[in-house]
Amino acid sequence: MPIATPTERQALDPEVLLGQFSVERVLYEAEIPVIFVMNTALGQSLLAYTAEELEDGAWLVLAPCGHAAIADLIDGRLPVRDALTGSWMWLARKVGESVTQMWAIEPTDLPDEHLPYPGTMLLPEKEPVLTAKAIGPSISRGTVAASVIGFLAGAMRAAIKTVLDHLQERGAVRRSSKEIRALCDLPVQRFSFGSFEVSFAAPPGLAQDLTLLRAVELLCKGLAWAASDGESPFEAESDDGRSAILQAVNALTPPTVGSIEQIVIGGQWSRRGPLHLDRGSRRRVRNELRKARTEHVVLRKGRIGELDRDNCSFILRDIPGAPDSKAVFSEEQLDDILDYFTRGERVVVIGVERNGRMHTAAVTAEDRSNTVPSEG
Amino acid sequence: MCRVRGLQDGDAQVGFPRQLAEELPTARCRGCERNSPPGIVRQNPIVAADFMSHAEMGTARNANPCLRVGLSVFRTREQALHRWRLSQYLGSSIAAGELAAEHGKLKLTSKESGHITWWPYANVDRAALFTAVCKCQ
Repeated sequence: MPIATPTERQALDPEVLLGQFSVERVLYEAEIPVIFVMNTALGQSLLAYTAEELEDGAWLVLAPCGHAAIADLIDGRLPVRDALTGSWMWLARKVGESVTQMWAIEPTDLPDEHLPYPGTMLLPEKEPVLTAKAIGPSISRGTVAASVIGFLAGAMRAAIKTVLDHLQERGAVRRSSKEIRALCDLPVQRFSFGSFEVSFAAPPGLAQDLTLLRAVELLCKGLAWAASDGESPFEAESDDGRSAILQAVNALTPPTVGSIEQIVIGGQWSRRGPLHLDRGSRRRVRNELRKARTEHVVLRKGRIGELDRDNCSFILRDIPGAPDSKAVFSEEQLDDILDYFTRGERVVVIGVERNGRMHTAAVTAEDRSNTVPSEG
Repeated sequence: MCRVRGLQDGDAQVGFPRQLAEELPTARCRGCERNSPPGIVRQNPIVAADFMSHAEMGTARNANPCLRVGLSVFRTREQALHRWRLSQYLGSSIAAGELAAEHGKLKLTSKESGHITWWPYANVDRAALFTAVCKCQ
């Protein structure tokens, strides 16, 4: 739908308000300058957006824009649509090199396709690599609970780490724990309120990291399956891979209870487009995980004989009636485990054994635990 | 008459559409290398109208006359998609194709946006070179 002359809106005098039309600075151009800065007759900065090209000129949207906002646009902290619609707006009819008519308008006066898509940044390289949006009846500007923010940020990290750990265990990649941390802890580019959205950037210098891109590709494959309505099982290269990817996807599905009812994953790295996950997606993932259960809970007693801080793993020794056992743990558990290792204390380790490796859930000193026969 | 950095002298006399030849007498530009520059198209399947320049459509009469007779493509799919996100009215799908030396001349007109202007030779079936690869979203 083309832009129509807003006859019901107040007409303005472009000669008085703009003076001579002049482009001060082009911010984005393709076949024409699409987004640029110009000044009012009084020298105030305006952000100009070519809303529609015409035979003899163009429709321009003009909005106030100071230096800080221009810097935010260039650095990818402010979407173009927000910069245009955040304050008052003018619609200008440009014929040739002159603005001949102008009106004060509202965003709703324009067909939606004549404004930038919501969330779009000025430059293509500043588009977020991944986005996660939480949708729920109580999630709106001013009412977003901290748990929602924490959930989205933590879930993305956990999901990517799960896939990276799987690739590491398979031997598909060889990265240290520190490198894995850097890969999965994506920088937050911006928060967007309304329904709450976190936009993630690539880690500095790692936008083309093949390991990270491979992990995200596998994750998105799983997310696309979870978001689909089909009944087909989830296919992966191996049972381990299937399990790892599904667990990663599970982390990004809305919890069964709480304010988040839907999560939408998008961004440049989500090449399948926005992926909509709801509680049905979570049920689907969990049903699929149950079909190929290869893990069980274990409890072991012993002494931490060897500790690898870089790879967050240890070897439990002196286990009564059982051989030494290797376990992995999360970074949050490092301090406690280091204490037990340093003091040489006997410990009780509870975890989940998966593919021959124990994933530690809890560690406590043996003499402080309730005595339970060692299992596994 | 206009001058654009890009085409070699003499290119305008050989094989360009007549209008292009009139508009681009002197310029320098590299020949098409084998690549797959994507562009925005209005519909899928692609039709010839998706590959008409502003000059052929009679629009953008005040645009740079050299760019007006060219076609817009981009270096990468992401850049083409980004262009659509900024101006959704341009179309609904991204098309990609492979261009070689016999298809015309290319010039990177904006490093930031990845915008490339393609001046196809007269005998090139432009739409036939491209296939819609994804819906804009």
